[in-house]
Amino acid sequence: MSVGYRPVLWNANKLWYDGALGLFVGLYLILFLRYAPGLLESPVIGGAELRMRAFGSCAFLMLTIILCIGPLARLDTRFLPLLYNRRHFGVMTFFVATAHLWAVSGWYLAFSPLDPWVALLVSNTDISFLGFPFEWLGMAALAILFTMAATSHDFWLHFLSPPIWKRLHMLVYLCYGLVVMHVALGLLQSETGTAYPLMVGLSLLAVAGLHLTAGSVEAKRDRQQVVVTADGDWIKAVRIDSLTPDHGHPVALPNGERVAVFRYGETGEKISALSNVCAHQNGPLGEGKIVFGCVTCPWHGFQYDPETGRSPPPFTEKVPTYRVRRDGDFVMIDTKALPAGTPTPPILLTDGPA
Amino acid sequence: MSKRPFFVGYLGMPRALAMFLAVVVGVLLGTGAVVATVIVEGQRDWGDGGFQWGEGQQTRTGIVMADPYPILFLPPDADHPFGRTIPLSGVGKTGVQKIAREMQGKPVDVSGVVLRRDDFEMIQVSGNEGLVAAADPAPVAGWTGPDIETLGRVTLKGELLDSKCFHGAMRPGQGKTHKLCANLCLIGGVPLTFLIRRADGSVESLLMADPAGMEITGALLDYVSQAIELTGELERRGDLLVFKVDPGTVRRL
Repeated sequence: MSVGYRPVLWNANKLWYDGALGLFVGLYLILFLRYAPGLLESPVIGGAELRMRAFGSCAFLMLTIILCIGPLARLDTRFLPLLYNRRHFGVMTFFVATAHLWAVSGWYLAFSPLDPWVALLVSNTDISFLGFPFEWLGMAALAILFTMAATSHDFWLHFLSPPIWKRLHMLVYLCYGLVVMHVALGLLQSETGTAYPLMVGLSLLAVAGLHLTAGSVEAKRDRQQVVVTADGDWIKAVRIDSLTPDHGHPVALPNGERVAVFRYGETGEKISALSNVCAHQNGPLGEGKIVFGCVTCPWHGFQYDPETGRSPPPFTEKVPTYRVRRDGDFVMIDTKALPAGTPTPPILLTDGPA
Repeated sequence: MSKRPFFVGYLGMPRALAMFLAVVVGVLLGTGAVVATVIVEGQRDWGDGGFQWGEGQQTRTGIVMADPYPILFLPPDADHPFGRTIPLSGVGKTGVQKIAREMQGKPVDVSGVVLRRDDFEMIQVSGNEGLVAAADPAPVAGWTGPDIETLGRVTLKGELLDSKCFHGAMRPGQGKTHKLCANLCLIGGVPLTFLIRRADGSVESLLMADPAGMEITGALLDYVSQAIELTGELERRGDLLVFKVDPGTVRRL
């Protein structure tokens, strides 16, 4: 959280994150370029071509990992720290992918009277499926990576608004699809061994499998929620004794929205409900926790007062709140969201037995 | 539930979480190492062709022909009863059509850097000074180039390539990933060849031509670096096979 903009807001965890990221990329490239060729009896490929493949495969692997982090964190919250600084992961991926383009343009596109950029676009005009200029797909994917890297800063998040920013950054899935096709219509047409299709297949399996699993688990959890009876716009949402003090409890409403219910206070005597969607990057507040008296998003630590949905001063973020009341052992929630930042009285368990 | 570690980026890292993340980072590093090794190990052997920089500038004396693509024919000798054929290219992704046409059918000295792949040789001509009238035409005196022998109409399966990268200017110098580079070479005037693989695994590189024996690059550019089938007349010129095809016979495989 910040009240101003800086190029990069470093902290110890981000430094560790970026250090590990640099180590990953560095080791991958060194192994690929320096040591792995030595494992062979004879070199089978030129050095420039090896650099193309090193940067390209590294970017593909990084993109695969980036896409796996989200569902992994949904399935096991211990992966959330990987999501915390994922933007740096994405920016680094853009730079590695750019290095791939640089390696290609410095070799396959070089030594020609044609300008390399013109050559990239016009040299191959065969638009049959197998002959398709796969380079165009790679360029489109790189353009998406650039767009996401260039707008990754929180300035753009606020400037574009979180919903638009989120939609823009969902293009990462299109980017991944383009990269898969770039590889399928390029490298997989040239290399006949099983290693390459196996790698691409494992990547697809990991990305698709984790997303389907996480979606399935969440859908199952939503279906199991207790909505015993309805009273106008109010629903009987959750048993009070099932709420863990200081931890969020996501509730799916009949209209498809999610609400984050929190039991908090010195003795866990209060219950409030907020929108489940963090104002920062739409993180799941219902999987967050009360820290320093505030609802804290598990993704980037943005905080909100549970009774008002407002970030503590001097921060200005706010999320919608929901009216709550008690019905015996249950928390009742009014499904009509109040405007973001609207103060709402909590349920006070001191008024009666929980 | 209440004891699960909760991570807030700007606060300290819970110890239990740090241990877990250390394992995750280790797994990711190991995955990267395995992927890098498997990808490098899984590559095809793209041949041992390449520029023979160590041999320095080489000069060959023979008869130059400009069509369908610039070729230097060396006269027969004891080791080469049919003579030898050396395709010619310019520096980079260029051909030497203009200068070869000026010297068409004449004895010339060709100087440049040799590219060699197995038994195949090519010369990257060193500028205009690299293709000049033979200083001593004696080695080719009385010889005007190889006879042309017609071998009949054939249908062959193979891959269209730019001869320079095939000889090792790039490795891989064939296949889909190289198509863009190949097209640039061919547009620049590098001889177009058709690589076929015999049943015993050995390969033969045929020089392409249209039915009239002229260059055919533009008509076949879309089919470069793909498995295709072509039908045409095959003829032998010394140790060179020339494949004269009608572009309409091309079929993707």
